[in-house]
Amino acid sequence: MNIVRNIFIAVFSIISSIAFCMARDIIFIEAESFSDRGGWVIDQQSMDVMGSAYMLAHGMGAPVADAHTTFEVSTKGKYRIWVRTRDWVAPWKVEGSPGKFQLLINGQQIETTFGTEGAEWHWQDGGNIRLKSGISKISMHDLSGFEGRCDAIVITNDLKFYPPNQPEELANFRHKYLGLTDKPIDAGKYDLVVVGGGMAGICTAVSAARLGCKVALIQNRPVLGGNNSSEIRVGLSGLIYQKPYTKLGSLVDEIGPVGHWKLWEAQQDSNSVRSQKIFEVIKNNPEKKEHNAGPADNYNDAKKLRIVLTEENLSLFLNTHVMNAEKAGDRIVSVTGKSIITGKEYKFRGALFADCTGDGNLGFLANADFRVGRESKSQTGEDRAPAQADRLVMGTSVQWNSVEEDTFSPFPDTNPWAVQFNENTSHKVNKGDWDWETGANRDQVVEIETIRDYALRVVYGNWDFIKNKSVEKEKFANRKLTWVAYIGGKRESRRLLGDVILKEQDIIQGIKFPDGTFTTTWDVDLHFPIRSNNFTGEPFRSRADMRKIEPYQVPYRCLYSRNVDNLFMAGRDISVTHVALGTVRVQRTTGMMGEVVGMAASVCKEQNALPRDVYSKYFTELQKLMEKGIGNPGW
Amino acid sequence: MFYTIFHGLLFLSFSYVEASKNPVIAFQYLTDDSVGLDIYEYYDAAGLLDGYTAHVNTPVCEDSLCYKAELEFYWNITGNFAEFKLMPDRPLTKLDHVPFSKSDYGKLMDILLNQTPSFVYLKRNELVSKNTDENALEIDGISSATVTQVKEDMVEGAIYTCYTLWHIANGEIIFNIKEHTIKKLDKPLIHKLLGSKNLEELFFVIENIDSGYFSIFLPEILSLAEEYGGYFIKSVIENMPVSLMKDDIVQNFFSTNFNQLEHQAQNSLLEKLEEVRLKKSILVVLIDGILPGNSLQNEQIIRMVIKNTNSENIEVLIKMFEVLRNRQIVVSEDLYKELISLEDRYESLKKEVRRFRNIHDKRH
Repeated sequence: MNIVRNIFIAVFSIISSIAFCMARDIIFIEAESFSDRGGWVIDQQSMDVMGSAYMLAHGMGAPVADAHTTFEVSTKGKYRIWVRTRDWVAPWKVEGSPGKFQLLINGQQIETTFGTEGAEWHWQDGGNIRLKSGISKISMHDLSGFEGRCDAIVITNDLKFYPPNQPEELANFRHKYLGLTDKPIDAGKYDLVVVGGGMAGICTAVSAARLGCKVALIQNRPVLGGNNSSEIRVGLSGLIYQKPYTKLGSLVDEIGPVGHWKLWEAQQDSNSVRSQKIFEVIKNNPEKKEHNAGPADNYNDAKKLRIVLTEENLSLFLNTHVMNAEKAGDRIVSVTGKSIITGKEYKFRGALFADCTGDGNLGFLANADFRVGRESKSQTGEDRAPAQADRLVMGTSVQWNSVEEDTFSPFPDTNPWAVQFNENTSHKVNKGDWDWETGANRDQVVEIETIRDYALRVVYGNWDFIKNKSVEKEKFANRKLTWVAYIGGKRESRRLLGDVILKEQDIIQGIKFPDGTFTTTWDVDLHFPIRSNNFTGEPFRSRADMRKIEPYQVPYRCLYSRNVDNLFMAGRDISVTHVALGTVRVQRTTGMMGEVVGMAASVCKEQNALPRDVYSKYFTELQKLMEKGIGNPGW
Repeated sequence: MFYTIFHGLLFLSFSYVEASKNPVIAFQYLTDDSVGLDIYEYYDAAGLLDGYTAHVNTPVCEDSLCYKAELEFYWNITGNFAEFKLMPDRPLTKLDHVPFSKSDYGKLMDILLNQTPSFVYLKRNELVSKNTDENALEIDGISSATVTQVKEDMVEGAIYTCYTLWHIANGEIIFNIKEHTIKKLDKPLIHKLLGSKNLEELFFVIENIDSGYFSIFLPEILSLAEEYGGYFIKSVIENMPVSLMKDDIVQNFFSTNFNQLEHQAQNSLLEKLEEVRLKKSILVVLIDGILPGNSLQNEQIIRMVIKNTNSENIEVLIKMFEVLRNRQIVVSEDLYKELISLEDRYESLKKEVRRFRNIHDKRH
């Protein structure tokens, strides 16, 4: 009997042991959370579509340094590897798969080359490997420097398991296997939650904080500045210190780097202390005159960060992308942001919110009314509105620059995957400025990865041609491509609607609104894609169609949502028509919007009021603040 | 090259001279310097709109010093500046009254044809530094790189002429011409433009004709789509009225071409096809487009196939299950349930559904 019992126990033990050994291990690794990202960069631009950021090997033709991290498995054995990636040029049906990369586990290369298949993001099968129990090291090894990309890696001993790829199922899968909490982490309660850290967002947050509001500033990049950051490098444009509120713009002046327009202002009044100091800066740093696509230091990321960090009432949350908004009635009560690095979620509660995202993301999440594209002439009565409304927008710039080296600087052959150029279609230039603009016919939110990728195919294809194939290639022999933006510089996406929707004729005819605030000075500058007869592909450059204006005061009612009661806007997503956007969209102007919104938020706090009430009941309070100004430029 | 252009400018006869119709005023236009221009249509030998012209007589000013620039401007039918012609005995002169040379005229032509010269965003008073302060002279209002480029983009000694004329040639007038041409798009003109082999004009027609003309010219448009492919075919799809999507000619065309379309063009097409009933021939092609690595597009195709099939074309569903199985296509849980439920609807699908389920179950 004992024998039988012992046999039974032994067999049971073996079966249990096998069962234990066979327990399913699924390791989910977000590529962005690699402990050492090497030369790979985080791209979060498509998070609203993908649900996650991803890692990009943006080496401009030179493979980037490996990224490394570790993971742990509980049992030794055979594991299958899945990598979420794509062949980024496959949507254009071209060969070449430039975004190739490999994985190394404990230094051993996996046979599969990733980034070689599929037009869409999907799980590429990496085959099976043997792992010992315990900690292993995993590395991503770029093979080309041409935009290889990886969203996540799954390592599992369930060899038949296939990770989900549909958005909702994938989101749940990520959540479960990243071990994220069911509820977002509480990030606090604020008087004002500002989403978006470009010039508009920074100025909104600092302005409100200085006027006594407790403020959260949420930015989805590691740096502040948006289009004016070193990541995108669009110089600040538009004039500040305009009548009637001649102190508006002081914060823009404080935050913004010395550049083209500061110098222009100084030249109009060369004897002032401010002008002399600006001359001094330019004299010592003449490179600062390069407005767009200049050296990284021209955009002074560190100064912006320093100003925000030293603000007492202001909490900064970098690398956080807002993906959800919770409402009670017609008000937002909280927003949830997701870390673009770890995937962790944070909830920000607030009394007031400001959409400074450019894309109108927060308004979209909160069901705020919005428009995209061009209104029709019958809708707005504008001269430059088309007869039929359409989805055409001003495009996204992917700027680039190069330097002259002492010796020959090689660049790889990009045939066949890049856009192919010839003597007639190529642009024999050293730099790509604002007019390297794509995507005017595409959705700037949903299709941003395609828009940016097409621009990269253009930049690399053109550079390859003029350096390697053109009859003028000798001129470019020593030129080295030193910078290409991988974050697109957008001009237009959603425009949230306020109680007033500003039209071009309001501006041209100088229609005065009782609630005038900041003054816009930039001409009504609309961009259109350039088509040429000898290029069959999608347009990749734009022209500017400008209509002159006199300085014009924009009404306050363009700065809050008409149907989400506690939502402000500042930036390119304010309440204007497509045509009117042409003047207000430049960054010194959007910065002044931010100053005004910050002031209005402080009035709301003081009066326990909503944005609309500031217009109807407390506008004189706002006027007093606009007269006083908020910046300390320190000239 | 400049010499050739110059000769072209002086001696070429412009088509409007030979035209069979007298030019008529299309619209009037006010320049940035408040000079009123009459913009005339001009026509080809068949009397069809061929472009626009204006007699430009504008002051070119630097502070209080002004002089005249007088010449004929020509724009193409889509509003892009095409060329200029000198007036007899009215040469262009520089600030010092020296007449333009041949190469100056050639350079001016290049400048006016360039839609993004470096001075686009410069104010007139930024073109020349007038600051006499020695220190300030070192600090021009524009970057040193731009200064060099601006000089390259200007006829030396005539920067205000270049600046003024460029803004007339490339300003808001482009939009106005486009709008005017859109109003003139009738059958003969569309026929002419579609036969032009000029891509800019082809895009213009595709984007601006109404659904009636789209229908009339459908065979020509599809033929051009086949010829140019790529981004052009995407534009054709996006601008094609949904009502035409059910047309046999359209479905047959895309049955033949679907797999050659760029991914985004395929997605645009699928969006349009969602609206109409699909024939078997195109369903079979769509099924062939189900590929590993295209999850989102696959889901859309599978749903469209389910929607457009019934017991009379069950072989289409059978083929789809074969493809899903053979290519190891993974679908979302929701779609999986929908696929599995098909066996309740179609007895003859039971075997295929079972085989598909077996594969799915092994993976989960």
